[in-house]
Amino acid sequence: MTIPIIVAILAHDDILRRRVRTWLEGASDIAVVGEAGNKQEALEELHSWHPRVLLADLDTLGDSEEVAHLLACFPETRLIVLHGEAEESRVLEALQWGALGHLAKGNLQPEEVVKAVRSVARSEAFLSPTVAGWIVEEVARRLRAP
Amino acid sequence: MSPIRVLIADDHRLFRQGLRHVCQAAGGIEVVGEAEDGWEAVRLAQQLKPDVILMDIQMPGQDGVEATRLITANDPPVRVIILTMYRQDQYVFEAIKAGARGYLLKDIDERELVEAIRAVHRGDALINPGLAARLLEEFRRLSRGETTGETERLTDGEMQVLRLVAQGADNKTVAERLALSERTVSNRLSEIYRKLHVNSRTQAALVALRRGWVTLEENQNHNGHEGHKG
Repeated sequence: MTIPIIVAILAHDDILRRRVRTWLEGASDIAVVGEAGNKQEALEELHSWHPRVLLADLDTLGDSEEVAHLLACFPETRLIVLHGEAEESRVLEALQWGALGHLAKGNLQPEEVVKAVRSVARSEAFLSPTVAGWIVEEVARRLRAP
Repeated sequence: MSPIRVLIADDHRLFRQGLRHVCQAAGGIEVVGEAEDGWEAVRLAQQLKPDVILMDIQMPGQDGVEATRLITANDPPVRVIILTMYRQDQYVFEAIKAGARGYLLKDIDERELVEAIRAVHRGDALINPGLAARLLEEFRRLSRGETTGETERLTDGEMQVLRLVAQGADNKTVAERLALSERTVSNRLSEIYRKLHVNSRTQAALVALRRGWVTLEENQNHNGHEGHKG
C-alpha cells in the first residue's frame, strides 16, 4: 500500500469544491485532507493539513502576492490554481510566483484534475499547451536578449 | 482541412520509420520527408516547407539544436519539436533558445506525440512535464531579471575544472589531472562561482549535477563523457 497524495482544496464556491473533492476521492492514490471556503480559514488549517497538493481557486486566493506568501509558508506544498477563461495574465503571474500547475474552471474534467494532482505531486509542471507556449516564448525571448 | 506536413530528422532509420508509422496512423498528418542529420534537416526544411519538424538532438554532422536555430531563423513559422533522450535542463534551454516549440523525451507514447504535433502546429507548445517544471523555474528567475548560468556559458576549460570539482577533487588534484598550475585552477574556480552565482565548491558541484553537466554515475566511474546518446 503506497502513501496517498494528501490534497487540500480552497474555493469559495461550494459546488466547485464538492465536485473537485468527489473526483479526487475517486482516485485510490489521493486523499483529500480538507477544504476551505476562504483564504483565512485555509491559512489556519494548512498547518495541520500539511497537503502535498493545494488546489486553489485564484478568485478565492486573491492576488499573486498571496500565492507567493502562501507558498513561502508551506514550501512542501505544490500549488495548482483554478482560473476562469481568458485570465492568461493572472495564470502567468501565479506561475511566476510559484504555482506549478493550472486548470481552467470552465471545462474541468475529472481525469484531468486527477492527472494534474499526480503530476505536481511528483514536482512536474501541469501546463496547458497554450500556457506552455507563452512560457516558451517568454523564456526564449529573455534567453536571447543580450 | 489540409494535413499537417511533417519532416522527420533522426539518424536512426528504425526510429524514423516508427515515427512515420505513428504520424500516418494518426490521420491529418502527412510525413513529407526524412533527414538523417542536421544538415539534411536544414536543406529539406527549405526545400519541402514542412509545418512541423520532429528533430533528434544528437546526429552526425550538425546537431539538432543548431539545425533548429538555422531553420527557425530562416523560416519562423516552421515549428520544431525536439525528440530526444536528453533530460538535462541545459539542452531544454538551448533548444528553446534556438526556437523549438516542443521538447519531448523518446519514451512518450503515440498519443502524446500526435497531441504535440497538433499543439505546436496551432502555435502552442509541449514540454516534457518534468522539464517544464525546470522551465518554470527559469521563467521565474528571468522574470525577476536575474541572469543565469544559461546566459553566461562556462568555457570548456572551466567545465573541465567543474567536472573534477563535482567529483570531489581538490585544487591540487584538479591541477595535476588537467596539467595546469594551481593558480589557474583557482582562477577558473572564481570565474565558475561568478558565472553560476554560487560561493562554494559544494554549491558549484550541486549546480553541475542539477543541470546535468555531470551525473552521479560519472562521479563513480570517473569517466569524462557528458550525457548519453540521444
